[in-house]
Parts: sequence; C-alpha cells; structure tokens
Amino acid sequence: MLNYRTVSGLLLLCVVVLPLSFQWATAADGHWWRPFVVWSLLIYGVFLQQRRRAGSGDE
Amino acid sequence: MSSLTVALYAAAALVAVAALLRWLLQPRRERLLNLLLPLTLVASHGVLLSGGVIEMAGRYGYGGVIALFGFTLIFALSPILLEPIRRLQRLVRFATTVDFLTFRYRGRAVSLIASAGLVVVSLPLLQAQFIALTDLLEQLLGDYARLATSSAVLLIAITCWLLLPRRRREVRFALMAICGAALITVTALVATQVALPSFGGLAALNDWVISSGQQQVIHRTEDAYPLFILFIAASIVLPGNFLVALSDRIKPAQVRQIAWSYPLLVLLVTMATLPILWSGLASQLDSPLQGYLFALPAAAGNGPLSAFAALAIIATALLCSCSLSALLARMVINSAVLPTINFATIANLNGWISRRIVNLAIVISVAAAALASAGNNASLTDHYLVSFVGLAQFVPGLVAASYFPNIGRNGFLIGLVLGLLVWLVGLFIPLMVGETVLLTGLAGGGLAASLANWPLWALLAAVVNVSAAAIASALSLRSREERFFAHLCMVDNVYVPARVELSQRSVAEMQTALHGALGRAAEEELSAALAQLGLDRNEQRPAKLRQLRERLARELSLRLGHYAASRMLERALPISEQSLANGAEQREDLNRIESVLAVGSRELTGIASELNRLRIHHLELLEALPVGVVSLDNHGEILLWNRKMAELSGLPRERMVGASLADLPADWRALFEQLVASQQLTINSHPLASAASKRWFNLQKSTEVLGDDDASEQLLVVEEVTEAVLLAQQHIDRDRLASIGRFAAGVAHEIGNPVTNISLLAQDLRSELPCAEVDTATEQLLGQTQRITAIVQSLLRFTRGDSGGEQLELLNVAELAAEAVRLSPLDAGGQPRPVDSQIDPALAVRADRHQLLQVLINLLRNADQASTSGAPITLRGVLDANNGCQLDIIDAGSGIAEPLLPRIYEPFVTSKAPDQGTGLGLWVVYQLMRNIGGEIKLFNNPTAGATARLLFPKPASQP
Repeated sequence: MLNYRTVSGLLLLCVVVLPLSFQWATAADGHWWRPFVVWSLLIYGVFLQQRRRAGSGDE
Repeated sequence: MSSLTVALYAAAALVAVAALLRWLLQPRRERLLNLLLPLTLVASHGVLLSGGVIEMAGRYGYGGVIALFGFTLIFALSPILLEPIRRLQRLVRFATTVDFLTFRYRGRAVSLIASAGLVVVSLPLLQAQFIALTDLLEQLLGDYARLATSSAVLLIAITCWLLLPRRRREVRFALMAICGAALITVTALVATQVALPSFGGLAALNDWVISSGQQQVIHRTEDAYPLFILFIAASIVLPGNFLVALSDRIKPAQVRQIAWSYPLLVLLVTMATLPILWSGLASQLDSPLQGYLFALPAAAGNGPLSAFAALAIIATALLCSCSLSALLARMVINSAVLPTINFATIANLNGWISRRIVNLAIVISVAAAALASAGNNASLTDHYLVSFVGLAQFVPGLVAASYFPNIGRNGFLIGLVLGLLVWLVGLFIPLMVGETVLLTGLAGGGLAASLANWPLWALLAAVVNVSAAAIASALSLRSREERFFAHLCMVDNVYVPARVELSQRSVAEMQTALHGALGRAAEEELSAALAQLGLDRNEQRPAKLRQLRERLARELSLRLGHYAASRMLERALPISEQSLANGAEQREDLNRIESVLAVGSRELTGIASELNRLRIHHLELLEALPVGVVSLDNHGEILLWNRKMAELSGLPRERMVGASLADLPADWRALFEQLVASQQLTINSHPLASAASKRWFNLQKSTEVLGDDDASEQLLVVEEVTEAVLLAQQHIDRDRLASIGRFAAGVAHEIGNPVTNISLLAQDLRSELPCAEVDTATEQLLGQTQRITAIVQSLLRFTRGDSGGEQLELLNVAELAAEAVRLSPLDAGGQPRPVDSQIDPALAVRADRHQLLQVLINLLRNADQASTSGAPITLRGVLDANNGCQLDIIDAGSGIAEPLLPRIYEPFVTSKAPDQGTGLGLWVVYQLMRNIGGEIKLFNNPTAGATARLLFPKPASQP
C-alpha cells in the first residue's frame, strides 16, 4: 500500500535534506569529520523511526 | 615479529575465541546471538572493512565514505525497499537472489544463468579475500613467505570443511559475530591507541590534515556519485545481504534493530579509518594502503595490537570466503543438480545436500584463489569495484520483478547476459590480465578496457542491460504462467491464493505421494508443515490440504531452491487437470485473503483502510444475520458458513469453512444437495430428524450464480421454522377434530332415534314370538343396538364436550389411578394383569373426578389390550419441570404403527380388531383432557410398547 507519510519523508530526504547535508559536509573549508555527523544523524533518524514502529506494533 | 611470537599470539587468540564461542552457544544465549546479527553482517563483507575501506578513502576521499554510506542504506531503508519481496515470503521462502528471480521469471534457464552469473561476478570478492590473506601471511611468515599462497588455500579449504556442514551453522554464525566484533574493536584500538597518539591528539591531527594538504585530498567527490549508486545496487544483490535482509528466520524486531545498528557499526569502522590512513601517510609506511590496519601497529612496535589486527583480518577473510562460496555453491546445486535428482533414492537428503555444498564451496574458493594467483595484482578496491559492477547487473531484474510487470523472462535473460558480457569485457578481463585497448580513435584516443574507466563501463553495462531487457520484453510474448507470477510479485499486489483442486483427498494420500518423490525426508517435511499449520493427520478439508501443499512448497523452496521444489511438488502433489485448464488465477481463495487482511489490517492506510472498515462491517452484518448463510463453490467446497448456520447445524465455522459438502453430516448434505440440484429456488418446511428432536427448515438459494463459470458461487439461506410448523400442526389438528366433532354430533343425533326404535321393535318381537331362534336373533339385535347406543353416547358426550357439568377438585393421582385399576377389567390370559404403580403419593391434579377416572380407565384398557400375556402395565407419575403433573401409562405391547400415529386421536381410528374396540376411546380421552386443561401425548417406547403421557397444568392451590 502506498504510505503517503513515508513517500513524503523520502522525497523530503532526497530533495532537501541530503543535498543540503552533502553540501555542508563536503564544504571545502569544513572539518573532515562533517560527513560522519550527517551519517550519524541519519542513523539516529532511522533509530527513532524503528523505535516508533516497534512501539506501534507495526510489521 | 618472530614466528614464535606469532604462534603464541595465535594460540592465545584461539583459546579466547573458543571460550567465547562456548559461552555464546549455550542454550540461553540464543537471544544474544540474535542481537549479534549486525556483527555477522560486518564480517560477511570480508576485507572490505579491514583494508578496502582505507584504500578507498585514500583513493576517492569522501567518495569512499559516501560509497560505504550507500552500502548501509539498503538496511536502513529495508522496511520500505524490500517489503515487496518480504511479503512474498508468506508464499515462498527465498534462500538466495536466484530463487527470487526464478520465482518471478520462471524456468530453469533463469535459475542456471542467474546462478552462473552470480558465481562469476562474485569471484573477484573471493579473490580479494585471498589476496588480503596472502599479503598478510607473507608479512607474518617472513622467511617462509613462499608458503603464503599454499597456506592461504589450505586455510580456506579447512575453514570450509570445518564450518560449512549444516550442523555447524550456529557455530559459523557465532564465529562471524566474534570476528565482526574483533574487526570493529581492532580498528577502533588502532585509531585511538596508535594513529591519534602518533599526531599527539585530535587537534594536532586536524592541524596536520590542513598543513599536509590532505584536506583537499579528502574533499574529492568526483567519483562519489557513481560509487554511491554502485554500492547501493551491489548491496541489494550481495548474497550475504540478501540472505539476512530477506530471510524469514529473522524476526521483525531484528529487522528493526539491523536497520540502525548495522549502519552504526560501519560508520564506526569508516570514521576510524581516516586517522589510520593519515597516520600511515604521515609515517610514510612502505605498505600499500589496504595493509595499514596491520602495518601501522606493527610499525609502531605494538605487538599485541598488530597480532590482534592480523588475526582479525585473517579470520574475516576466511569466514567471508567460506560463507560466500557456500552461498554460491548452494545456488549452483539448487539450479543445476537438484532438479535432475530423484530425491526418493537418497537416504539422508539434508546430509547429501550439505556434503555437496561443502565440496563445491571448497572448489569455488580454490578456483578463485588460483585465478587471484594468476591475476594482475590489482588492489582490494579494484576487486570489490569490479565485483560490485557485476552484481549491479542483477538490479534491473530485481527492480523490474517488483515494479515492472511487462518485463518477461526473455527480456531479463537477454539484458542480464548482455550486461554481464559488457562487464566481462570491460572490467573482469582487465582485472585478470590488465588493460586492453578495444577501439582506437582518429586522434589516438580510444576506448580502453581498463579498471580506471570503471564508471564508464558500469554505465555502459547498465544501459545495455536495461535497454536489451526493455526491447526484448516488448518484442517477445509472455506465457500465462509468466504473466501470473509477474502480477504476483508486483509491489501493490495483494496475494490471493488460488482455489485449485488437488489430486489428493487426504493427508495420508499426500504423505504417500510425497514419500514417492522425496523419500524419507517426506515424513519430516510433512510433520513440520502440519505442526506449523496446527492440522492433524485426519484432515480432509480441501482448503486445508491446499494450505498444506503451499506450506510444503514454501519450506521445500528454502531447502531445495524454488525451481527444484516446484518441479518435485508438481510431480508429487499435482493440481487437478481441470483446475489447470481453467487457470488458477480465476478462482481465488477469499478466506485466505480474509485471514491475511485480519492480521495485516493495521498496515493499511487511506482509502485502503476505509475499504477494510467497510469489509469488516459487511462481514459483521453477515455474521449477525438471524438466518444461516452458506456459500458453496461449483466443486461443493464451503466458502462461507455464518454464525447462525453454525448454531443451527451445531457445526462450528472453523471446521466447515474450506470443507467439502461431502464432509457434512448425511442429513444436511442431502438437504443442500437437493436444493443445489433442484430447479426450484426454495424448499419449504423440510424436516430434519436429529437424535434429540425433529426440526423443520426453509431453504433458499441465490437466483444468480456469483462469479464466472468456473469460479461460481451459490448462496444458500437456511431458516429454522420448527416452532411455526408445530403451531400450524396443532392448529390443523384442532380444526380437524372440531369439524369431526360437529360431524359426529349430527350423526349421533340422526342415528339415535332409529336405533331406539330398532331396540324397542326387537324387544316387542321377543315378547310376541317366544322361541329359541327368535330369542337368539333378538339377543344379537339388542346387543348390536346397545353397541350403537354406546357409540352414540360417546359421540354425544364428545359433542357436548362435557365441559359444562364437571366439578373441578384437587385429586390425588395415586389414589385415583388405584381406583381406575380396580374398576378396569385387566386380564392377562385369565390372570389379573400386574400393574406397577410408581406414582408419587403426593402428586395431585385439579380435575373432574369422573372425567379423569374415565380417561384412566380408557387408557388402562388400551394398555391391557395391547400388552402381551403376563406383561405388566407401568404407571409413573412425577412433577414436571413446570410443577405440573406428568402421568405415564406404559405398556409392553407391540406399540402403535407409525402411519397410525398422526391420526390416532381421530374417531374410529384404531389398531384393534373390529370387535374389540370402537376407535372412540382415545378420541374421548383427548377431549376430556382438553376439558381438564391438560394434554395427551402418545408415542412408542424405544424398546417395546407405547406410552400414553398425560400432562396436567400446575394446580391452582399448589405453591
């Protein structure tokens, strides 16, 4: 089934979050660890989402 | 480091691992083992995370980091991306990518080509493990470096032989988890204990990165996009990933845990990689970048850490080779060997398959090692990149399987083969033999088959693959089977199992057929499937047998591969020819979709959720109907059996849905068959006699048959009308008796006067002609007129109803019965007939004494005449459930003929000889009991004789 919330979230992720994050992480004058910050945040987002799914008894 | 030191470290590590393994494999650690699954995954990627990642960071800068980020995305997004395939696991279990592709695109060619292709594209991965292992052994063995290659081959073969047998599965997973944990730990330790201290801390490292120009180097992202896409694509197809991400052995909680824990572990490794890389560069190590994890602590003189790193790298390479080659061996055996084998001839099928997987895995590993030895000395990253481009050739087929139903088998195979050919020419051959110039342009430039051009070749292979698949699919026709399975695999498809008809009619028949095809393994498979479904061996319901076959197909697919399992089942448990001819997709098992929706309804959103609510509402309405509803398909299978129907029949819904009409009790089966076969749409007041009582039912069937010819359904509605029928019968009986009464009154009045005259004339004749002959004749004449008079009196008494003059009083039943016995001339062959009185002495009724006495005398006389010589008459009087009185007069005669029973209260109806009774006794009793306010019931006893049951209402004075 089409899950509009998931699709909207993915669209937002692909069109807004990832390009901006990528730009910030790879900025020429930025610290070398910036990409890992973005990566960590994404993992945290997935963790929150999975915890919510577990709480709502989805699967 | 001396050889002795190496040996000591290795021995210590082996002891530590053995102790940890023993602890992990204790029964109560199963839960912990499940939590270690992400670590197992880390180890399954082999030396990519121990050496390849450092080299990628050095070569591609952030491109390498982004590639690894993409590599983990498949698990982070698996709840969305892999859901279509995971949903199919309810129907069939996929052990490998090849199984899924074979299920979708059908045919042995798909199975063979896909497994062969996966073996070829995975060879560089195995080679990478071998290269990393050989390089490390060369450094460790020092003077004996020449032994490195043979040692590596031997180690790989021994590992496969030791760990791959089926019974060692748990040990293998536990070892991989330990290995993954060791790899992450050693990477973190080298970064924090060696790399960072070599700069003097994090701030100093940052300063060095800027001053050395590494900041510009690491910020390179020119190859980031192709790397990102390539790693995402490869991670879907990678055999180990497919097994973990889609295996239904993994619980939903584990899937949720892996979604974030596995990317976190890879992030930790990758983050530690950069300090190690820069420390190695700053130290100007003479080792290649891929060897820094070992070389850096070794150069720093940290013996324990370098030994730890060496052992982690060796273990990772060995376990990756072992597990990957086993998966490839399994694909090849499932595709090429098992479809040609007669399983019935194999005593131990599991052992047989396991042994062949081990042997073939060793062959594949050694072949990869041989190719690597003769190869072009390419780096680990090159091997991984080449392999990943090859794996990516399977992605169009996988994506099309769930999203593009028009891509058929020919399109998939042609696209895959052409894509792999481009990959072979452009990347695999250069990996083996070095760069080759394929075309030379006018200006001297040209297209070179070179690893440096991997993005170009990857793009070319993908374009060729997709274009060929689309064109070939457009130009070729697809079979009905292909279209059916293409539709089945669609992401938005709701799977509705087909209502096909099996050739077997019982579990026993299925067991016999399965034994013929599968040998001894049949019993084990059947028992497991029955236990999973909660069925017993006496099961005969067609729907449950279909479910059992599906479950067997699902489990056997995992063990034998989809192609071999489906072929074997087609032979052993075939679907009837009629079902095949009609097309399975036409008859859907709606009860199965009902159960699927009942479980998964929480996943529905939007309009689907609203439709589901509507479905539930309609279902509840159907269940709440005050009439029984049954739906039958054209093969007599019961599709619907609502709550009221279960109540009416006493047959529970769970037992009846999916059963055949033939499984019903004989009376219900005959009734339904009569209605279905009848031209009439209704059957009214049909009696069904059960052990307890007789019941009547009205039945109707739907005027139009639902569905197509073959998928038709007939709706039957059943309504119980027992109460109405009984009331109507009572009404009819009363009307009939009332009209007979009126008729009798007229007859009695008209006959009375002539009979009196005849009697008087006979008496005159006797007095006027005194002779013997006249005396005899007049005596007979008077006797007959007295009989007529008695009949007339009875008729008149009945007509009057004798209801006007009765005097109601409270009478003791036992005493009255004793008086009736005394007054009745009961005779049993010249002897007084014994009467067994079992009347409660306190039992009392309110009635007219003479009328009740008359009733009892009439009934006792009937009982006496019906009883055989010497047989007693039993009188039994008790209080009934309503505090009324129940008095039974029970004889031991031959009973009343069944045809006579409905008419027994009518006048002149008797079973006695004409000279023994007038047929008015019971008629009078019936009328008198009505006057009293009671009731009489006459019925045959189960053993012998008949019972006249008098029922009196509760006396007004009785509490």
